[in-house]
Amino acid sequence: MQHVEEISAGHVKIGPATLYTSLTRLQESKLITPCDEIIQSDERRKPYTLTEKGKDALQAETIRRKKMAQDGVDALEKIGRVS
Amino acid sequence: MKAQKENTRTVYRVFWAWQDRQEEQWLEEMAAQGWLLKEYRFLRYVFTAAEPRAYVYRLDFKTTPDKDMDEYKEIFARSGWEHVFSANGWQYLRIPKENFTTDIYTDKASLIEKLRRTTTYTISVMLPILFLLVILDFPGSLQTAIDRYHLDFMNYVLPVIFVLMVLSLIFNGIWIIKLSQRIKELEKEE
Repeated sequence: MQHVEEISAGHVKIGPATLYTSLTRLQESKLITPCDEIIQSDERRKPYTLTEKGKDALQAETIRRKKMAQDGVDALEKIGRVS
Repeated sequence: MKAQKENTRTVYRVFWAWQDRQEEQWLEEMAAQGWLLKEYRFLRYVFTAAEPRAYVYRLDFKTTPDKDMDEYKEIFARSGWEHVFSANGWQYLRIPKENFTTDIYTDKASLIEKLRRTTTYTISVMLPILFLLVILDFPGSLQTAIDRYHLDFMNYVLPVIFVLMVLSLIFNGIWIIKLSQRIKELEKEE
């Protein structure tokens, strides 16, 4: 949760119940799976890893958003604004 | 209300499932008066004496099997929430008010998902009771057994069981209606 806040420069905050619900849903949809690897520095932390299906979904979603952003860039160019 | 030991206090109070926000508020008032919730067991709230302090309480409903309870608690602990205890799926969480920066649910989608899961869970509690009452004609078939085996004392027990089953259906039914209202309200806000 702290990490999410850090990498988004404070824009995205995730509450613990939201995080727990998301982890449950991602696991049920088989996009992530518990990872056997143990984090030495922090043994209470439970790591997850992306499944193949999860990687596909991440890729598809990133491509989709990139295209959306590109459409925005094109539209801005047409009206003479800098993106 | 009655005093037990000097530093604990037991209060009997009824909050229905749909009064979770009122319950949170009441627990916050108790903390401000120096009573920290210790546990809850069937209408009985046990508090321990503490320095009066502003706390934020949240009640969450956990619908997943409890084998991941450690992970659940850990996720909350990492953002400063204390897991007080759990009772029948309800999770009692609190945080000192000065540390309260983010609520436990930060987006609508996850809150709606939780309310939907709670609905499914509640229906799964109601179904066996409905099944017993309607399909198996539970009161009727039990009465036949009582008459056949002369279990006369059961004639006093049976109405009690029957009333409890019907009450359980009514309260769970109200809860489901309230849950669907909350979901609709959330979906309306845009």
